[in-house]
Amino acid sequence: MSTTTATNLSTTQVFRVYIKADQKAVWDAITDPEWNARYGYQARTEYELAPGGAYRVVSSPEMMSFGAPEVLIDGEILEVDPPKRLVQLWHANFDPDTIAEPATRLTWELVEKAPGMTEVTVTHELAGAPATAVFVSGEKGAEAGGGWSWILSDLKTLLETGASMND
Amino acid sequence: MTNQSHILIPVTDDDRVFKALADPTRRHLLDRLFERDGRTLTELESDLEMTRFGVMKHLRVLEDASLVVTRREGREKLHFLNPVPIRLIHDRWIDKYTERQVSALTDLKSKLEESA
Repeated sequence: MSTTTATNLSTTQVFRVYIKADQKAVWDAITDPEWNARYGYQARTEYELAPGGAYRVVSSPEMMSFGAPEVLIDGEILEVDPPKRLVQLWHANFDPDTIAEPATRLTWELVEKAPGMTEVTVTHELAGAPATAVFVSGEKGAEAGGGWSWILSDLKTLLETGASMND
Repeated sequence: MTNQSHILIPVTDDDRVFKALADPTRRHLLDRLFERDGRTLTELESDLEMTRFGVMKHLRVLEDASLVVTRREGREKLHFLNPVPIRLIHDRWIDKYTERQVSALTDLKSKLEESA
């Protein structure tokens, strides 16, 4: 992988996946810690679902044993329209470079394209945050997981099969 | 399934992705977006020996496979590379076969150790 990767990345990244589940089930899998601790990085994610509410991704005991901070990612809820739209600030605390960067803006959009078929679009606006952009793009490779692509792929797997790829 | 003799093979998302990738112009367009995301049609057609309509048709196939997602920003329509379908193919196919290779090697290792 080239070392100039970060400079090639756009300041906005868009990720889309289609999931055989209704909008409400997808919304719950994103916002409910009982669900969101089961796929992707398997870190419990807490949302205070109101404008100005807190957003926290909490490290698992395993992550803490590797020296991860207790609050891996934090942020603030900007807009909530369940089960369709969620806009939030997103700031990663797991790396010195991302800590130094400003909070980024993340938008979740859920559209039910057919009964029981939901289109999920994640738009991550990363202006002024090139280190964060590298992590969420999945370009860091195996040592940092696969970013949003991997999280969304596993979210789809969990909702469609009942088991995460981690299980 | 109630009628076993009548097997329908639906066009799955994977089929669309493989079909979209099976064309050099479309792979070139994805490479351009990988270099820098969020481009307009005008930018994307600039280095292709093809009509604007031809490029639009290729982008349409990529959009149908969800490999490209468009977003309006002001008066412009920007094209973004969506890596998720390729990730899904990786998780569904590549992992499966590379895993088998690894387990075949593990089997070979234990067989060799047994006979040693």
